[in-house]
Parts: sequence; C-alpha cells; structure tokens
Amino acid sequence: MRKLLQSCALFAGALASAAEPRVFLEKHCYECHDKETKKGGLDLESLGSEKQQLDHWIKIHDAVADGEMPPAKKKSQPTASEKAAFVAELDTRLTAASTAAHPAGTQLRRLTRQEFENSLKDLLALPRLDITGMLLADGRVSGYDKIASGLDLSPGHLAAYQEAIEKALDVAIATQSTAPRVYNKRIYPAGLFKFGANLSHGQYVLLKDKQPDPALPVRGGFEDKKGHVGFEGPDLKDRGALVKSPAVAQSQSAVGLLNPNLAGYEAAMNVAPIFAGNYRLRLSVWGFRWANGRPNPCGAPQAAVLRAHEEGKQQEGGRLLSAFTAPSMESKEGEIVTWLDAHESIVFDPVSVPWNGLRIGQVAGRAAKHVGPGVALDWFEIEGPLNPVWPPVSHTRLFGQLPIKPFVPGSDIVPPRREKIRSFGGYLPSMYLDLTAAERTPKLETVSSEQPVEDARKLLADFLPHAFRRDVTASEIEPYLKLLQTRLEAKDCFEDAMRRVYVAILTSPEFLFLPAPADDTTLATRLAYWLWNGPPDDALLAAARNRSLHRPEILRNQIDRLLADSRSERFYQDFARQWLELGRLDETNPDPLLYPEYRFLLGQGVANETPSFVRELITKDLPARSLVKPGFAMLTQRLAEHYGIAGVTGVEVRKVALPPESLRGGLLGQASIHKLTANGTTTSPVKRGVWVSDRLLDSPAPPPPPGISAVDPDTRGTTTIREQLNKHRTDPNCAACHAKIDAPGFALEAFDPVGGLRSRYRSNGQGDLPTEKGRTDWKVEYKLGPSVDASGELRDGRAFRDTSAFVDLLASDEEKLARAFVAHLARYATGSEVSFADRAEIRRIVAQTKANGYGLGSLLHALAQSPLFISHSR
Amino acid sequence: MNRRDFLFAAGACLALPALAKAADKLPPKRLLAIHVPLGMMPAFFFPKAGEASSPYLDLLAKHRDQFTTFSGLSHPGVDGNHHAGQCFLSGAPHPGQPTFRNSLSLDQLVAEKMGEDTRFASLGVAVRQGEHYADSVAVSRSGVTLPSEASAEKLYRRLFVAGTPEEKAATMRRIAAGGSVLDLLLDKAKRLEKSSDPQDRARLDQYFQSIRELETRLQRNLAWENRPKPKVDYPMPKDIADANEVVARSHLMFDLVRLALQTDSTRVVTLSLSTFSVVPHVPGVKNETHGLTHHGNEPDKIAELRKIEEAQLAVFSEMLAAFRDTRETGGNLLDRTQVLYGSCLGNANSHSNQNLPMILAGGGFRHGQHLNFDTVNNTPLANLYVSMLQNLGVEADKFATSTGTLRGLRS
Repeated sequence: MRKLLQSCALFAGALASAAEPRVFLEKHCYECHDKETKKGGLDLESLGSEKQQLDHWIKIHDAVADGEMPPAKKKSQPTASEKAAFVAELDTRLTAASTAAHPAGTQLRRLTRQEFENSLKDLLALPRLDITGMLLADGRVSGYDKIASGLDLSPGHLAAYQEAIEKALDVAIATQSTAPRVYNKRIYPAGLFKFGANLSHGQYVLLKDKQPDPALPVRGGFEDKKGHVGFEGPDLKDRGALVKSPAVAQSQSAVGLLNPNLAGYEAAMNVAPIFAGNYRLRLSVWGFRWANGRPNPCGAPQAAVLRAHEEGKQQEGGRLLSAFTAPSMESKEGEIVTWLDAHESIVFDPVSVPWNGLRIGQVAGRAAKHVGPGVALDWFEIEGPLNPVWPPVSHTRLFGQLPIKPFVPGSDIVPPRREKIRSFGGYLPSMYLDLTAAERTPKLETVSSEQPVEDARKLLADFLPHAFRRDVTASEIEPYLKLLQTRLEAKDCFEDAMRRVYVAILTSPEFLFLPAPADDTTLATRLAYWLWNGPPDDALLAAARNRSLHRPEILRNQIDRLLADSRSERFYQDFARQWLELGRLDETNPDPLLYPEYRFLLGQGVANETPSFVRELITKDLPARSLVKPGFAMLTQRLAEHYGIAGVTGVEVRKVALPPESLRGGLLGQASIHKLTANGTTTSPVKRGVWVSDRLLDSPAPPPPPGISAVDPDTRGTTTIREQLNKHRTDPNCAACHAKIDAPGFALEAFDPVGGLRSRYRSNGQGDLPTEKGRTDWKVEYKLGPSVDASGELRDGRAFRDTSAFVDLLASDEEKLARAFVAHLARYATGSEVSFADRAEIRRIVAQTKANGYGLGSLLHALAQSPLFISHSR
Repeated sequence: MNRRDFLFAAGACLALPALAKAADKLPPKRLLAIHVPLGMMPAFFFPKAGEASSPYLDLLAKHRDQFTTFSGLSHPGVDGNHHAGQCFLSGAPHPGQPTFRNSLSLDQLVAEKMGEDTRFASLGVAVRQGEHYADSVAVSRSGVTLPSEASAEKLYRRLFVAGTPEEKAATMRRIAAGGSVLDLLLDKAKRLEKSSDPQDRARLDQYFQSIRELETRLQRNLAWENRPKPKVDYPMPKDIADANEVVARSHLMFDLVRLALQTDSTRVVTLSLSTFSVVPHVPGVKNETHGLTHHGNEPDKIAELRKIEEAQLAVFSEMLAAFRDTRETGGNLLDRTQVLYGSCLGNANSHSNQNLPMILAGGGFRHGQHLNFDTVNNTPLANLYVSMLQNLGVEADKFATSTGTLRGLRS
C-alpha cells in the first residue's frame, strides 16, 4: 500500500512538474534569476501569470527553446526531455493566452497612402500620379504601414484625400476636343544657355567627330599656377563672344562635360512641356577620358541621367527619369517614354564624372591640363505629348464617349475653370513658340450631355464597380445621382457636377476601406493589394465572381499571373522597402571627406540592389539560405566597382554570379543595409545588430532602459566603436541584452557606412595614408585608423571569428530564416500583427516547403493558401 | 524693461480683472513653439557650474531679462534620437519603436481651448529641405502629425490676401459643393454603421466623426469667408528658392509669424527650423549640417557647426527684438506671447534625448534666470508645459508625462 501511495505521489509530482512551468524555472533558473539575485535585472520569482505578462513569458519560452538559457557554461543543465516538456507546455499556454489577447481575424482598414495613389492611378489609367506627398503619413506597426491598428482616419486625412482627388481629376479630364499639338525637336547642346556658359568657362568642351572642335578652342590659362585661379582671364571676353556666335551656337557638334551638376539646374535642355503627357525622350551619349586636351578611351563606360525638375524648383534635386550608359568613344542612343507634368524642365547630368570641389574652369591649366573622366552629349530629342487616342483613356473612364463641345455662355451655368496655357518664362520658350494664337488661347470646351442624369447613370454603372471593387446594385448609384442633380440645380456645368460625384465616390468608405477577407471578392481585393499594392483587375474579380478563387489551383494560377504582371513591381519595391527598412536610406548623407566615393550614381546602384534581389529570390523560388548566401548579386557597373567585382558595365541592374567565398550578394553584404544602419559618418554595431535581429530573424531586441546615456562617437581615429561599446558590455545590466544584440553588428563592422569592405577605420584625424590615395578619380583626404575586429559570439554561444563565419552560421539556420521571412510577409499581406498564436501556423507553412530548401516563392504561395491569409482564422 | 512694461507686469501679478477694467481690452495670450531638430551643442549652450551665462546665451544677452533657460529637462521614455522630434510637444514615449503611438501635442491642446475665435485655430510653419522627421511638431488627438507650411508666399496668401470677387464666389461655390458631398457621405456612414460588426464599427466611427468634423469646419470656413482679412504693411514675399539660405528663410518666417500673431489671425503657432540636408549659407560653412552634428569631437567640425548654430541664435535674437518692438495695448507682443525655443536632442553627436536645451521667453513669466534640474535624473519637460498651460489660462494640472508644474518658474 505504501509503495502504491509513494508511486502515486511520485506520479502526481511528475504530472505537476510537467504541467507547471514554474517548477522548471525554480529548478533551472532561480539560481541566477530569483528575487534576491536578479541576474541581469531579471526576477522570475515575482513574474505574473502568462496572461498578465505575456511578452515576458514569450521571451522566456524563446530563450529556452533557442538554447540561450540556461547558459551553456552552467553546470547543471535540464535534460532534453525536461526542456522539451517545458517548452511544449508553455507553447500551449501561451498560444491560448495569445489567442485571447489578440483580436481574431484581419480587420477592416483604410487604404495606405501608397495604396490610395495606386488605386487612383489604376482606376483612372494615369501613367503617373504623384500625390502621396499631399496625404498624411500612415502610422507604422512593427515597421509596416499596412497594419490596421496604425491606420487611423481623421478629418485631416479626408481633407487631404479630397485635394489629391481633385489633382488627379485635373490630369485625367480632357479640356479640349482635339489632342494637343505634338512637339518634336532635336536639340543640339552647344546653343543651350547653361551649356554656353560652361563652354565659355571651360568645364565643357566642344567636340566634333570625337575630337576637340576647332570652332571653340580648348581653354587653357594659368598653367604656371596651382589650384584655384577663378573663371576670369584675358580670354574670357572673346570666348564669350565666340560661344554666342553662330559657329558655335548653331553648331551640331557634341559637348563634352568634364564636371557633373552640382545642384539641379546645370546642364539644362531648355525645354519644358506645355501640356502634361507622355513624351518620348531620346539622346546620344558617349564616354571618354579627358587628357592632353582631348578625348581618349576610358575603358569601362561612363554614365549620365536625365532628370525632371518641378516648376520653380530648378535648384533642388529633381526626379530621376532614367540613367544611360555612355560607352567609351562610341555614341550610344538611349530612349525612354515617360510622363512629364506641365512645366517640368529637363536636365542632363553626367553622373559618373566625379566632383572634386572646383569647376575645371576655375583650376589652373583649365581644360587644357585637366585629366579625368567625361561624358559627351551628341544631341537630345523630345517628342510629345503622345496621345494614341483622344480623348485619352483616363478621360473616357470618367466620361465615356460623351462629346467635348464648346461651352455655351449666356445661361447662368458656371463655366468650368481652366489653367492658362503658358510657357515657362525667361529662356525656356521652346514649345510655346510652335503654338498658334488659337492654340495659346483656346476656346472654352467641356464635356457635355443632353440627358445628364441618364448619362451619369450609365457612367457610374461602369465606374462604381471598379471603384468599390465589387458588383453594385442600382440603388447604390442613386445617392450619387441625387448629388449630381443638386449640383446641376446649383448651376454647375456637367463637368464640374460630375467632379463632385467622383470626389464623393472616391471618399466613400467602400473605396477607402478594405474589408476583411470573408468571401472570394474580398479575397481578390486583399490579394491584389498584397501582390500589386493596388486594386484587382477585371480578370481577378471575374474569378472571384464565379466563386472559384479560393480553390487552391485557381488561387495558385492567379498568384502566378499577378506576380508575372508588371504591377507586381510595386509589391517588390514596397515590400522590400518596408521589410528591410529601405526608407531609412535617405536619412543620412555620408561625410564627403570620409566617403568621397559616394555620389549619386553609387547611391542609385545601392538603392536598386535590394528590391531587385528580393524580386529575384521570390520569382526564382530560391531557398531561404539565399537571403544571406545566394552566390550572386544584383549589380550596376558603379556598384560592382564599389564592391571590387570586375567585368560589369552599364547602368542597368543585372544578376552577376559570385564565387562561393564572396561576402557580397546576400542581404548582409548589401550596401543599402550597411548605409541605413549607419549615420553617414560612423557605424553602430547596436543599430546593425537590432536590424538583423528584427528584420532577418524576427526576434526584435528590447528597447533600452530609461536614462541610459548614449555613446559619444569619436572619429578622431583613436578609439573604435567596439572599444567604446565594451564599457556597456562589461556592465552586467547592459550585457544581458547587448550580448545578444551586438554580435551581428560586430560581424558587420567589416562594412563601412557606405557599404565598402574595410579592414581599418577611416579617420579625419590620425592615421596612415591609404593605398588608394592618388589612384582614384575622386580626391582621397581621409586616413586609415585602427583595425576592424569583426569577431563575436551568437546568443546561443556559437562563436565566429570574422564576417564570413557569421554569414555561414546564419545561412545554416535556414528554417529560422524561412520562419522570419514568412512572419514579415504575413504582416505585409494580412495587415495584421503576428502573434505567438500564429507561430504554429507559420511553422506549418514553412514545413511545407522544406523539400526545396524553403523556397521564397513557395513560401509566398503557402502563405497565400493558409488560413492566416484567407480568413485569418486559427 | 520700461516703466510701462513694469507696471503692466506688476499689475498682472496682483489682480488681473482690475487691470483688465483699467486698460483697453488686453490682447489675448499666445503660444509660439519653435523646434530646432538638430539641437544646439551642449558645451556652448549650458552655463558651466558657477557661471551665469554661456557662449550661446551671451548672444541673447540683451534679452536676458526676457527669457529663462533650463537644464536637466527631458521627456521620460522619449528616446529614438531624431524620431523624438515628433514627441517634442507631446511627450509620447518610445517613438522609434514599432508599437509607437503619438498623442496630443501641447499646441493642439491650446488650439482646442483658444482656437475658436481666430481664423486659424493654429498654424504649423516650417523652414526645411525635403521631408524629414521633425518638419512638424503639432500632433492631433489621434496621434497624427499635422502638416506644416514651408512656403512663405502661400502662408502670406492664406493670412492676408483676400480673393477677388470671382475667387470669393468660387470659394463659396466650393464650400456649398463640399457640403453636398459631405451630406452624401454622412448618410452613407450612418447606414454602414447599422450593418457592420462591432470590430468594424469602431473604424467606421472614426470615419463618421471625421465627416462631422469636416462639416463643422466647412461652416466655420463659410463664416470666415465673409469676414475681411487683416491688412498688413508688409509686401507679399517671394519664396527663397535656395534651401541653403536658411538664415534668410528663417527671418522671413519669423516675420510672417509675428504678423499672424499681431493681427490675431491665430494664437497658436508651431515652427520647425530644420537644417537637415542643408549647407547653410553662413561664412565659413561648407558642409551639410546633419553630418556636422556627428562631429565625433573633431575640432574643425565643431567650429563649423558652431557657426551655424550661432547664426540661428542670432536670427532668434532678432525675432525677440522685433516682438518687443511690436507695441500692443498694455505692453508688447512678447509680453503676451509664450515663446518656447528648444530641441528634442540634448546632444546630436551621441543622439541623446536627455538634458534638452530649452529656452522660454515672454508670456508674462518672471524671467532672467537659469533653472538647474538634475542632469542625471531629469525632470519631466512636460512639467514646463503644465506651467505654460496654466499661464495661458487653460485649466490643467497634468499634461503627458508631467508630475506637476515646473519648480522655480513663476508668472
């Protein structure tokens, strides 16, 4: 009997320890983490229940499950089965607590501002619409703007929407019955205003048949001096006259640019569209190395860009239209078709030419003595506005085929407002000159209707289903027709009255809000806003209408179709930006003395690498380990040069195979990541460590405790950031978190704030002369300071001696990388936070793709088919 | 301080109602909050132990009895370096964290209380280049950062330029049209509310409230549309295109703010003076400001940054002088305007958000002192805000993370 009782007690005891996590804690953790000792500030004895302190219990669960705790060096360790039982029991309890704590299901939410812009764009078939800047910024949760709890709606939002819609309608509505006159002109640079000034001073040179054109001699002067001598000189007056003379001003010779643009408006094309629209821009460029007063071969090609500057903002950055490769001593034509707004001015910029602080015309010896890269522009052409049909599609979306007729004055109907047709004043009259008087002051025309309400009913019967992304009943159209009537009675013309109707439609909740996925139609909408960051098209809605979209094969085919469509580019760009925090790239400007190699062209390559990489991983279904060890990189010529990879030419991004030992290619080797986790001058292992933990491993680091003094970085070359951080790491209170946070950051110390590989820190103070000094096209004035130490130890104790070893460790944790990717993708796709309760489903999704190494494309498909996305039920 | 100012100030301490009877109607009290996102170098701003002034405060010497400076103030829980800019007036904690939610800012609370009687309940104004963290420090109740106006020309038009009769008629039509649209949406929102489930209802309720609020605004706009705008003896400015002309741009904005307050177009103004992405046109300055703030203790960079910060303080000093020169019933504009000037960064080089450099000028407080709070365990900055609220006549004993009013600051 006694034995029976004893074994009962033992049995009960065993049950108790299996059921109660605190028993495990008491046995294995209280030695360091009880009320008295509180090692690292953690007191497990006083911890509340799972419900009360869910986040704490989750951390405990993860620390034990990941092998971080108890630390390996502790003598008595739990057995494997004890640990498994503890983790499993906690898992069950925490899943229950988490399910109770979080609202079930994806919630109704409003469109983000990018989604709003894309929705308007697609609805109105506008090639370009730039309105996000007019809208209020979205809140972010876990870094994502797609999450319902971050998307509030205030009167300010509605007011901003209305303004943005008016702007879109201004572009979309045709105000004339015939298409505007097409302007088509080839422009030679020598006669352009800004080019003329630069030709005079001598930082631009006149070239004919790839040699200096004798019509304007190469400028010399002050050969006996050194450095800055100024533009003035006895030759300047004559040069000025020569440049203005027909021999040069009307010449068809090329112009070679030896200096890049400093701020915006330098090499301006002197042309600005009168009418907004699509324009075909063409040019012919070539690259050279200027030496001995003439062009020479330059090996790798040079590069140039075209930018468009908003009216009145010629000094500021401008928006990039396209980049062009300029091969050595060989003219190459480039062409783009792009939307230009009215009065945007076009500017050319030879971005591969370095800037070393002075214009060539100000330096002793000037162009005659100058040595350096240059880009030549043979000619530039502009043709447009291109309107294959008239009125354009955007107009017919709003007004169908209703005629555009002269407005009949006399009645008390208020005429529609029209912008004056005008040219950009001063020295940019070009397109305006071609217009006839009648075209400059056209008759007032507007879309007209004999039976406005009936015509509107037909228009809305087509427009509303597209705007609301579902079928609409006849009764849903009525309120809008009533609004139309009210406005017509108030003497609006038909065009203005319909504008009110469209503003009302596009600020209606059916347009602004995305419902939770409940049936195939709402599923279609959610799918489109995931993979296109915009509204569904007719084909997707049709699949939804016949209730087949939720079927796995149909859903799979539609996803493939959406990803193959060009609109998926919006998803790749937007998801990469949000997931990997690429928006932070523009926050800093690298110190020009420490990082003179970083200029626009490198920045462009850096910014393009990561979204292209994400697209490649998903479309080619590459395994999760490719996130950090892909064996290839997405490079432009300039970026490849920066990375020390040979043989890549041209401005386009392309896939380049890399040797297996290369540190480049994966996210940890990408300059974008290095730059956005630095501050332009110094790197921070803490910032980088936080980024890796949060974005790559989905285990965000906790915030710093209050009152912690920040580190005061020192770039005078005497102390490294590692040495400075060590002071924090030796304090046991700080070490608790920093031991985990810093490790990836230290591994990445091998990369400087602009993503270059370094074995020594650059400094503006003490140090040795770098070997590259005198060997680059840009001026090197920094010195080399202390050595970089990229060794460290992971949370679970695994050590690495350098960056490469760290990358290998991370790559071997494939399943973890896959789970983190799915968690991040889920936040973006479902617009919901990922809670503890979702982990089981994420694990299941990941397990489905184990066979192909957790291919990222397969993971995306598996997520789309999972309840997490379809109905967010558990 | 001249005799008249002194009398007014003394009277204000004794019995305000009596003074109000004696004088012509006193001008209203105003709030002007100026945020300098990149901070001021602490070594030059804060007086050293035992000293009364500092190199930067010396630049404001002629106004010394008009302002108070503080050390040892910050918002508890507000970290995240530059992200803290959006919390400068709200004190909402952990702005850098993914779970951050902002809260109502000081100026918007004041606008709620005092904004009814002016054309603009508040004005948000900025000097900036590009979109950055702290272009605006005004935050609505729902945690949304409100936009700020960076164009002097547009601001002037809004404040002082009446439309032509055609423009007015067009505006009236627009308001009427806007009203019709809102009617439709209100109706929709009411119907939708009935049919949706509780979760969704909360979201739709925000929509509903927003429509109603817009309706109210429309009514107010209508009323103001019929009232003429004030006339000022100041020509319409043209925007300064070069963003590096930060000093000139600041001058211009300060002028317009002064005119806006003087004409009672508004009583609440926030102004953000950002030098992010700018190489200020100041002699000896060749580098972009933010890069300079990460000087790494290099003397050359510190010297260059100092030139920029001193130039900014010089403009501020001129603004204070202009406010003092603006006569009003019972005194001058500075007496009736609280001017807050400070930064979310205590030390831009280390990105510290503690020990913020703060100046409070005007508003009828007793100035001329430097108030020292604990630089290791800071006092909540919101305590200063509570003192300011009370001085403005707003009934409040708490704001954000305050623990009371600010010790040592007296009206």
